[in-house]
Amino acid sequence: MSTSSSSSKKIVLKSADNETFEIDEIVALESQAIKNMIEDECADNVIPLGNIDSKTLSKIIEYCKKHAESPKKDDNADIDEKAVEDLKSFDAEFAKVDMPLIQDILMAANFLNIDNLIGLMCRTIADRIKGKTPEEIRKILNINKNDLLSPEQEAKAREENSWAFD
Amino acid sequence: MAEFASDTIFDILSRLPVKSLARFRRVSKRWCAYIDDDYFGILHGERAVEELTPLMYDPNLSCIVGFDIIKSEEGKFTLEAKKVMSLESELKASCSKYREYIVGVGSTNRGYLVGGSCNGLLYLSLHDILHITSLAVIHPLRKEFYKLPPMQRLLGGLYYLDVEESHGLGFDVSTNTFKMVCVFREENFQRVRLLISQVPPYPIYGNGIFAHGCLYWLAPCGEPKSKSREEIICFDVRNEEFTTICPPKKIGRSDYSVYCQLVDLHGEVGYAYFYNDSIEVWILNQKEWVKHCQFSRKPPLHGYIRILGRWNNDGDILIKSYAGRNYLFVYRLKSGVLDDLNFMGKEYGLQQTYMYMYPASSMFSIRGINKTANSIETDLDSD
Repeated sequence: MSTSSSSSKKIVLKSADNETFEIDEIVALESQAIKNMIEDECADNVIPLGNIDSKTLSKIIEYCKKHAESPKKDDNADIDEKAVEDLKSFDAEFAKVDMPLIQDILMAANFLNIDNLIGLMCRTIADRIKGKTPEEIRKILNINKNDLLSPEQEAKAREENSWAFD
Repeated sequence: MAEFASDTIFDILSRLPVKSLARFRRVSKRWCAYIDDDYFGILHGERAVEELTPLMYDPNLSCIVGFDIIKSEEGKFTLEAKKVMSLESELKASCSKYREYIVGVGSTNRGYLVGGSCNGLLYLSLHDILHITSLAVIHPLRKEFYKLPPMQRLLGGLYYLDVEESHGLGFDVSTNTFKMVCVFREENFQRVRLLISQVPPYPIYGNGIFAHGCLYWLAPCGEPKSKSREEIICFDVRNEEFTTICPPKKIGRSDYSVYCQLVDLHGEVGYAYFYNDSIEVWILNQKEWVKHCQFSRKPPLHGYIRILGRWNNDGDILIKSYAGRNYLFVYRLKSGVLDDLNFMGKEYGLQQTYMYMYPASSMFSIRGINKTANSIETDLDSD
């Protein structure tokens, strides 16, 4: 993925599967982790991201580009409502991907420290799991099988939290 | 794939409604520990947006009734009643001989009345003919009932027939405790227990509304002391101090058509002002009153109108209008439309009773009140 603007400084990100992405520095700065690296001048020309695959990374760059382009709330006292709405609908569309990718993006967003994206992914996961059963959750989120409650504990938890309104 | 780090799981869980969390304690030991964590309770309280469930107490059947909200294709609402929790046995156990007698002669004042709600608990109060008040805290989600010690003990003996009292249930985040505030008014002076020497500046009537760490009461219009200025009495539950704040509107003189009320708008204290052809609802937002909505006081709204609470998270308002019988309406904030509510399950004494928008809004809903109830008792014992 490349960008057309040539005047700004470029950053190159390299995914775990060795694909490179050249992006504007301003886009990369959406990531607090990369921002710190650049500020500390410990970023080389190419930033290797050994734990993020290219599919996930291209989604993250798509997100950062959009958010870097959008006017920031604190830039202007009169918040442009249209821009806010536009960003909201972008986020909603962005989150319409399958659960494994959501989880990969969340892991990567944590690593790159992109606050808004972490929030968006957590919200998306919460929305998707809120109606599910504990069994379904274990499957969806790969809960460690060694960490399950004993049958007695499970029965107790069930008894304690039988929802009064059902 | 690896499991998420703990702060990520916290982040996800804090966005879930309590109803889901109650179920998700069974996902794994780790999840159970997270959900039971004290810090999580605080984080969740700050973030989560809960659905509201209309609840009411039916004094004839001595039960808490919850309502499912059914939305038709045309967007009309119907409330379907469901018995949530029966208090029959608890009431029998706590009834004095006098009260049985009163019940026996067919008093309509049977059982408890819902006074208010705080962090997922409801509290109920019963005034009987001897002015002996019983207070009880219930936890609808866990079906728990906890009766507070009798008031005579608090006052060091039987107290007078002309004592009036009001209550409020608050929560102190600094100590993680619920506090029941009882204000007794004996003719010309007031006594506030729980070791509070300071007396509120005005007589307090009715039930306090809890929001942002404080309980609020409206100082009554027409009281000699408050003749010139209306005030709202505020009790800081953490510091246990009374102050007053100004309401957004001043009512010059109380008459039947001009009145005001405080209302629990789910974590916010609201002030409703009824005058001429209008109803205004204001919300206290960071010590400033902000107008929430204003709508016309015209049919189908008629008779005595009260705001019951916040209907949903869009800020719509639940309204009761009494004219021979009760009618319920929802005022739509966005469209300004007034929708009437239908009921199913008429066996419950809906027309007679008070409806409460119950927010299962706190993690305390999951953990239950036993721990908290004990600490209430300890407070009183040290008194």
